[in-house]
Amino acid sequence: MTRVRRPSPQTVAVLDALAAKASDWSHGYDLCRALGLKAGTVYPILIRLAERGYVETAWEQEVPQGRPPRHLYRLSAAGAEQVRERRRAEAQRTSRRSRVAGRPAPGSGAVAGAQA
Amino acid sequence: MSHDATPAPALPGPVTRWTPWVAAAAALVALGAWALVTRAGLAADDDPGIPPVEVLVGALFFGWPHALAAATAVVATAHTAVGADAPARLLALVTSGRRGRRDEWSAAMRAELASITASPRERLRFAAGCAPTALRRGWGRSPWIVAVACATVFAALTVATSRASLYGSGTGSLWAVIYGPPQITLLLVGLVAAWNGRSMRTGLEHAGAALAGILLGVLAAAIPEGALWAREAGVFLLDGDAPSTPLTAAGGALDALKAALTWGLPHWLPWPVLGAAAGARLRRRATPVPHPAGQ
Repeated sequence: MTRVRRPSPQTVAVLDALAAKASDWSHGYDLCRALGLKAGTVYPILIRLAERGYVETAWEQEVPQGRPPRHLYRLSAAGAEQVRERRRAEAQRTSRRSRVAGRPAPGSGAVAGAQA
Repeated sequence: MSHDATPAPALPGPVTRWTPWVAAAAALVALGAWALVTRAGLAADDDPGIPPVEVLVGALFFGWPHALAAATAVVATAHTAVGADAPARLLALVTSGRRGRRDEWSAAMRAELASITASPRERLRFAAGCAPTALRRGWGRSPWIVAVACATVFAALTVATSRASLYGSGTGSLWAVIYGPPQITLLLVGLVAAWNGRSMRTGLEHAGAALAGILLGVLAAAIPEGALWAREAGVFLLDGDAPSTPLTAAGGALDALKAALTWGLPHWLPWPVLGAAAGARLRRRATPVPHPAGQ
């Protein structure tokens, strides 16, 4: 039986950032800056996600003279599915917790009604 | 979509006319350290005067591998750390010697650094962030296998030698295990791995793993054997000397631990560097195709 580890908050952040760009490619440094994470955090995550097939990698094709082609990243179909699955599971967990606590889930109509 | 081309460093590295002098200075520092150790060792023997010649001879005798390794490391680093500025050189150094698919992420980090023009500080932050990842990545399984093999062989060698001399000649046996065989093993592992992997880095990784394995193997066997020698013969495992006061099992074990850490480990340290450098150099000579410097 394989143990499914819950992804770290940093991994979730990288996946979400890539998911936000849909099919557009991202650069490693831009991800670091956008997420406020160090390269030493982002690159191991990208490497792991690429090895698991959640991230596609490619090299820049049109390269300005004077610098080497950059490595590009985007979510693969499996990665996009993983993000959807995690968001679904998170939503279920949140709604379950809200039910246990005896209050309506955030964003539900009841809350909106109560606030109104 | 993939791109095999690794960005080739086109800029000169920090090899300058000063490099040989820096290498010589590193060698002198290593010899100086050994001179201090030798002097401290002679002073502990309660000699009334310490002749400088003895200190010099001791430093040269024990310290020449360290001096050679220090000079070799300086020259290899200077040839490998190629780049326009310090961050580029740092990343070139830590990503050197990777081949095939393992080099893809190294090339990705180097290319990303090349695109960062914001500020030197930002470049340094990025390179420093990537460095641990680049160093950790791509070790593969073989260094771990080498480490386990070395630990097993040296543990068995320590026990076998200890038992043979305890129930035979009665002279201490740890010397024979920790002085000579580890150095030869580390030199050969570094040399063969660097030759096979076509890089000094591969040699260093394998010989470094071998060093860790040898240390663990020797310690795991020598500590209980030291206690056994104290109980059975009342002498030290290292050399069979009898202490001035009765030796307890704990004292025997502690002496074996100290012996391995002071008479073994410091003498082993230069050999991974020397083996890896020799293997990479021999491979470069034997390979007719051009290759990146320092690999």
